[in-house]
Amino acid sequence: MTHPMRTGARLELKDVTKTYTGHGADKHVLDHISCIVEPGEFLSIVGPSGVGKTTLLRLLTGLTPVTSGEILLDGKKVTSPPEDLAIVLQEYTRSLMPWLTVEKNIELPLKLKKIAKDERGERVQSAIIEVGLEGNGSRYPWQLSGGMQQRVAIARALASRPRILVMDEPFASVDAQTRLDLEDLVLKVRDDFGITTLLVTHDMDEAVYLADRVLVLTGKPAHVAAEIAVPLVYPRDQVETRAHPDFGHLRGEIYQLIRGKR
Amino acid sequence: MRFANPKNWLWLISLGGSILIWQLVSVNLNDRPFPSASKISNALWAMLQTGEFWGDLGVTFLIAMVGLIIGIVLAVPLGLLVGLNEFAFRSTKFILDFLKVIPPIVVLPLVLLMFGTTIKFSITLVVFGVLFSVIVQATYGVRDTDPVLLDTLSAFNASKYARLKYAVLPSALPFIATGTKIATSAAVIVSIVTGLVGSGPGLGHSLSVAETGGNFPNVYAYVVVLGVVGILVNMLVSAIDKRIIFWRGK
Repeated sequence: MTHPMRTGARLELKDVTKTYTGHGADKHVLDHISCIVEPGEFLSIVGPSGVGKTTLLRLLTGLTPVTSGEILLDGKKVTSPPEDLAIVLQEYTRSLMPWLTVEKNIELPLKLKKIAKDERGERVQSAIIEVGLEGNGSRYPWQLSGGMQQRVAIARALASRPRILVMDEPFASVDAQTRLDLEDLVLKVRDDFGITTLLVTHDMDEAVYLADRVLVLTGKPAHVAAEIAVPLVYPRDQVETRAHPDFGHLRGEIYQLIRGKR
Repeated sequence: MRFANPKNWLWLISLGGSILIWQLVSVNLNDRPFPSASKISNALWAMLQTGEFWGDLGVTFLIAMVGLIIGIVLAVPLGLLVGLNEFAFRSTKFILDFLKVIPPIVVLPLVLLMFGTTIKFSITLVVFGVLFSVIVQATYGVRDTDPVLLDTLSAFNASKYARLKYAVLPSALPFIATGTKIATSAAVIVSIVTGLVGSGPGLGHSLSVAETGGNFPNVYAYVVVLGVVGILVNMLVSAIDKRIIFWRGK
């Protein structure tokens, strides 16, 4: 099938710092994070658990305000959830609505954007096909497996035709086989639409396998320990790419960065 | 086959057994306050032939349903408002929990003074019995809305109204339904009590008259009717609940 070609958005973080205040001592979570993500690029953000990856994601999506610094999406300052951004969260069981069918779940953001009914229907159907959920549109999320539910969440994100897709540990609660399938699905989506993609994960293998570049966060408060380019060629292959010597080296490098700073 | 499984008709055996034991014991007691099962069933059969009985039943049912509906219509918006506002929730929590546990029979004399033994009196008391449990449930329903769901909607730029419509209300619905289930039983009980204790119209009053007149077979026949009505209403409410809240527990 053909897809209307879109260009990804450019994301820029300038000296982003986050401190949570109130309720006792201030909690300094993120310290002067700077990074540029080029249009269409795939960036993985890794770090030990509790480092503040999810906080960074909330700042990017405009759900939480930055304490200082700036986040720019195509040069525009992010203060509220941007139109061109869509998210996929880890907890698919909680982010999908159990009272809506798969189709209605995917349609909801389009409804919120006041898109005409005919167009909504078309977009929902093409998103369902994109993630391989044909024939499941009128089922409810709780009638589907975990992997399929996460596909629904991805379809919902795609239906709003974002220029940047942000995912928070999207594959952390599915089984190993499903995880590999979903990883390849995400790569296909990036290829099909050329959207800028950000993946927050604690899995170093996954970070390297998917990304053009890996941003390593460590420390308390978290800062950028390294930005590592991944020179492995696309399309990537679950067997060949992971067997490549560069894959092992990069993985080792990231592992040491994360472990060394603890 | 459902009937192939003994679990599905065990209740019928225990019911039959209980009636049999009642019959055997009451025949030997030969005491007026304990009429035999056969006498009660005769009284019940005779009662079902009278227009008076069906009128009573209708009035009792009407009181319960009108009171229930008024109570829910008042309670749901109130509960939603209280649940949405942290200040309102904290300031009313104690009062609501306090009022919730006061049995309607306590305020019965007061309401009786206001309205006399009219249908207004009965309905008001049912509303009192229904109101607080539904308010409290609606409040908890609103507060139970998953923050992940709200974040998801916020990330899609949903307005406050859209979050209310697509996340908060559906999340509160199962709680409101549970509150309604509790309230329905309460409504039936209170509508009978208003007749029994307050001489309001309906089955409760007829039961009280039968008791005062020493017509014990009729007293028990009424008790049987009340039990059956209670079970039927509960089954109805549960069936409605299952249809509307089809995602419960998923």
